[in-house]
Amino acid sequence: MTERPKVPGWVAWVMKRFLTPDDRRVALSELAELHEAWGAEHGRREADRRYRRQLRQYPLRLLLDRLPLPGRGAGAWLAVPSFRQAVRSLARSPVLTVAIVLTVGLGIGGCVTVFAIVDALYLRPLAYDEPDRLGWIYTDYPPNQFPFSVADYQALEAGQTSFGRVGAARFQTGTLLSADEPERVFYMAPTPSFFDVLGIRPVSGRLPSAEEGMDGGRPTLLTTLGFAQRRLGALRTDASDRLGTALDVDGVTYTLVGVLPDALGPLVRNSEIFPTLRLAPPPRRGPFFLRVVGRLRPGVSEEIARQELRRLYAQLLPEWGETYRDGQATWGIRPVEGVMRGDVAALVGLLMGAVGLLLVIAVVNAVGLLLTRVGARRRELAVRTALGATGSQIAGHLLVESSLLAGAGVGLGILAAVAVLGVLPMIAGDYIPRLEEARVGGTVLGFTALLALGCAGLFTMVPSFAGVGSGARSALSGLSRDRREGRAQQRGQRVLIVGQLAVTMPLLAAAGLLLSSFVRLQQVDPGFESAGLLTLRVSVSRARHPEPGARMALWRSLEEAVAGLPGVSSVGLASARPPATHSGNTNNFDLEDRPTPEGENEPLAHWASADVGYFEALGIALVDGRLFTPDEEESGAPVIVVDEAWARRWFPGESAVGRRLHEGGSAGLTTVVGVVEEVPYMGPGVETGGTVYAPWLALETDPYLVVRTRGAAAALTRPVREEVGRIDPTAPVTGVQTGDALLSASLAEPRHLAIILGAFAVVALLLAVVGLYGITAQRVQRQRPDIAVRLALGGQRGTVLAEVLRDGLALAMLGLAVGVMLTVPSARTLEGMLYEVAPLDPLSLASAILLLLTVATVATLVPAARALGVDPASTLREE
Amino acid sequence: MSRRSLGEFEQQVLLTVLRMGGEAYSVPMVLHMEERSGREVSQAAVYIALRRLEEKGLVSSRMEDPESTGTGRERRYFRVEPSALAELREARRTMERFWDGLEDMVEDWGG
Repeated sequence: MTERPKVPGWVAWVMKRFLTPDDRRVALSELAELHEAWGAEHGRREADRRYRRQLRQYPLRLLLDRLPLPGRGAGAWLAVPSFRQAVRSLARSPVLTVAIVLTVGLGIGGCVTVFAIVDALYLRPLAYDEPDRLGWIYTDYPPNQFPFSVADYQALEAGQTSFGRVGAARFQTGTLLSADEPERVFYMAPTPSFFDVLGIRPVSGRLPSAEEGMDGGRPTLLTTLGFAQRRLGALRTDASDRLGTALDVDGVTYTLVGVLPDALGPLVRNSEIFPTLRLAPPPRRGPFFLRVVGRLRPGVSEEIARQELRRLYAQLLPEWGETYRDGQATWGIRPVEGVMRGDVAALVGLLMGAVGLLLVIAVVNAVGLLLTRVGARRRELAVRTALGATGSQIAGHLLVESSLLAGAGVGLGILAAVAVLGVLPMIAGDYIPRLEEARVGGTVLGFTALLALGCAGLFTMVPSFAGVGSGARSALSGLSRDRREGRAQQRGQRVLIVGQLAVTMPLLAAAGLLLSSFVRLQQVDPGFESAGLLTLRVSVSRARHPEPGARMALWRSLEEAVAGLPGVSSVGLASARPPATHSGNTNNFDLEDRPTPEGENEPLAHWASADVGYFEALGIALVDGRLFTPDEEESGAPVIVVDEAWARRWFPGESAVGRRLHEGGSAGLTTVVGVVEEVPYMGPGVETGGTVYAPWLALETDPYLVVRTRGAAAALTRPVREEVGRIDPTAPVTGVQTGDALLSASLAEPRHLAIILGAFAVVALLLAVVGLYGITAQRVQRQRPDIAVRLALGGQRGTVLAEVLRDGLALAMLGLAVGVMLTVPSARTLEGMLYEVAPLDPLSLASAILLLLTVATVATLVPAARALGVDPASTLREE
Repeated sequence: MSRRSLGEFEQQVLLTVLRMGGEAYSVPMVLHMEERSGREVSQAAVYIALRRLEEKGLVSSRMEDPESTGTGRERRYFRVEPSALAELREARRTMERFWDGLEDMVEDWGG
C-alpha cells in the first residue's frame, strides 16, 4: 500500500454528513485503489494530483445530488435525508408549517426593518467627505439652538481660523417659473462654499465662485442631475448640455453653472434646485435663518473650535449691541453626524425593543409549535427507531426540517423588510431622519444572518427538548400514553408560555401608555374650531407684486372675493396656520416697563402676521382690548395683539393691553392693543412662550388663507382656487387642508406610535394566548381518562374545573410577575414620548395586567370547560 | 417515483458494468471509462450514479469483505439487473429513432 495525500478536513466533514459509514469507507477505499492504479501507470505525482481532484469531487457531487430537484429519489443510503423528503414531510401539516414560517417571518422582518433604520442612522457614515470633521454651527441660547443671521455668518467667515471653510444655506419655499406653469417648490439656497464644505463635487460644470455669492453678483444656480434630466431635458448623462440654461426662481433669473449628483445626503433633503445665496451687508443683526456648517481643519479639535466661536461671538456683540443684546447666548458647534441622528434615539430604541421582543415571542412560539409537532409524531418516530433508524438519523431529519422552516422564515422576513423599507420614507420620513437611506445591504444582511443562526439554533434544540432518540422504547412499550414521556415536553412548553407572557407584558404596557397619552393629546383644546374650516396657502411672486401696498390691495380683494362665495361666513389671512405651522419668525423684544438688563438675553417670542379675519375665521376669541383696525392693517402700524400665554408670562395678574415694547432691536415703540386666546402652534403641551400677532400682511408673499364655511369645507376648494386664479393666474395654491385634516395630521406621530405598539402588543398577546390555550387543551386531552374516572366515581365537576384553571392561571401569574419586572425599566424609555402620563402610570399598568389576566383566564377556561363536557362512560369505553 | 429514461452518464455506467462481466466495482469502471471517453471520470460521480441506479432497482450491490479481496480493501460490487437491460434497449431504440435517416447527413456517425 502506498502513501496517499491526506483527505482534506472539509471533504471528510461533508462526506461524514452525507454518507453512511459503510459508503464512506467504501468510497475512500476504492479511491485509494484508483490511486495505486494511477501511480503504476502515470507515476506518483500524477496519481497524487488526480487523487486530490477526485476527493474534491465528492462534496460537489453529493451537494448536487442533494439539491431538491424534481424526480430525485429518497436516498435511504444517505445519512441526511434529502430536502425533498423534509419538504414533503412539512407539506403534510401545511397549517402548522405556514404558521411557523409566518411567525418567524414576521419577527425577522420587523427586526431587519428596524435594524436597517439603525444601520442608516448610526452605522453608515454620512455621504460626505470625512463626516467626523463636519460641524453644525448655531447660536446657542439655552435651551434653544437658533440658526445664524447674515451678520453672524459674515462675522464668522471673516474671523474664524478653526475651519478650512464654512458654508451656510437657507431653506425656503419659492415659486419656480418654468415653461408652462408657476410651481411652488421647497429649495435650498447655499453660499458658494456650502457644497465644497460638504465635499460634494458637481458631475458637470462648477460650483459658484465667491463673487457670485456677493451682493450684486451674477445670479447662478445649481440643480441635481435628476432635475436637469427630468425638467430641463438634459441629453448627456452628466447634463453638461444644459449648463447655461436660465431658470426663474422667485422672480430672479438664474444661470445654471453646475449639476450636482442626486445623492446629496441628509443635510440637503427635498431640494433639487440651489440658487446661490447672495448676501448683502445687513442693516441689523437679525433675522436668523442661515444653517451653518464648517469643516474643521486637520488637527483642530471640536473644543478648540468651540472656544474660538465663543471668542468671536464676544467680539461681535458690541458691534450690534444697539439692536440686539443677548450676552448670555453664544455660538456653539455640534458634530453634523449627531445632529442628523436627531432626537429619535428613544423612538428607535423603542422600536428595536418592540421588534426584539416580538421576535423572541415569535421564535419561542415557533419552537412551541414544533414541539407539538414532534409530540404528535412521537409514535411515528418511535416506530422508525424500532425499525433501525438511529437517534442521530432522526435528529438529523428533524434538523433538516427545522433549518428549512428557519430558512423560509428568514427569506420571508427579508422580503417583508424590503417591502416595508420601500414605503416607510413616505409614512415616517418626517420623524425619522435618513430613512430613505435605510435599505437591506451588507451590514443588515450580516445582522439577519446572525438572527437566522439564532433561530436555527433554537429550532435545533427542539429535538432535544422533546427528548427524541432516547426513550423510543418507552414510547412504544407504554404505547399510547406514557405520561413520563410527555412530561419533559410539557415542561419545555410551560417555560415557553411563561416567557411569552412575560415579554407580552411590557409591550401591552407600552401600548397602553402611548394610547392614554394619545387620548389626552386629543382632548387638548387646539385653540381653534376645526369643523367647517378650509385652509390653503396662496403664493405670489415678489417680482410681479413688488410693492407692499399693492400686495395688501391684492389680499383685500382676494378676501372680499372669497367672502362673497356662497357658504362662506368669514375669511382671514395670516403667516401662521394652526395647529402645527408657525410662521417660523422668531423676534426679540424689549419691554418698556421692564428693560432687559445689560448683558442679559432679550426675550424671544414667535411673531406672526395676521388680520382680523384670521381670528374670526378660526374662532380665536378676543379676551382683552381690541383687534387691529382696518387702518392699522393697511399701514402696518406699530401695534400688536398677543395671546394669553404671552400676557400671562409678562404681565401675570395685570392687563397687557397698552404695554409697549421695542421689537427686533428697533428704536421705535410698539403697543399691545389686544389679548386673544392661545393657540398651541408647537403642538399640545409644548410651551411656546406666547405668540405675537402683527398687522404685517403687506410684507407677506405667501400667507395662509383661512375660510370659515357653513357647510362641508372641502366642497369650497374649487371655487376658492378659481378666485385665486382670477386675482393672479400665476399664483400657485398649495397645502389645501380642512381644519379636521390639519388636526388629525398634527397628531399623526403619537397616533402612529400608539398604533404600531398596539399592533405589536396584540400580536404578542395573541401568540401567548394561543400557546396557553394549546397547552391547557393538551393537558386536558391527556387527562381525559383520569377525569372520566373521577367523574364516574362521583367527583365534582367544579373541583376538576378549578384544578385546570389553577394550573393555567399559575402559568399566567408567573409570566405576569416576570413581565412586570421587565416593564419597569422598559417603560422609562418612553418618558419623552408621553404627554401628561407617567411612565409607570398606575391606570395603564393595571389595565395591561387586567387585560392579560382576563385573556389568560379565558384561554384556560375554554379548554377546561370542554374537559367537563367529558362523558365518563364513552371515554372509559375508548380505553 | 417518477419514471424517467436513463441519462447518458447512467447508460455509460451500466454498459461499463456489463463489459466488466455484469458485476463490477468503481475502480476498474473508472479506468475503463476514462480510456473509452478520453477524459478524466469522477469516481464520486460513478459511485453516486451506481447508488442511484440501485434505488431504481436497475442494479443491486453487495459489500465485499476486506479479507476475501486479499488486498485489505473494502469494495462495493454492483450487478446489473434484468430490468436494466430492458431500459438500455429502450434507450438505444429511442436514440435510433432519432437517428433514423440522418446517418448520411451526420458524417462521423459511429466514430
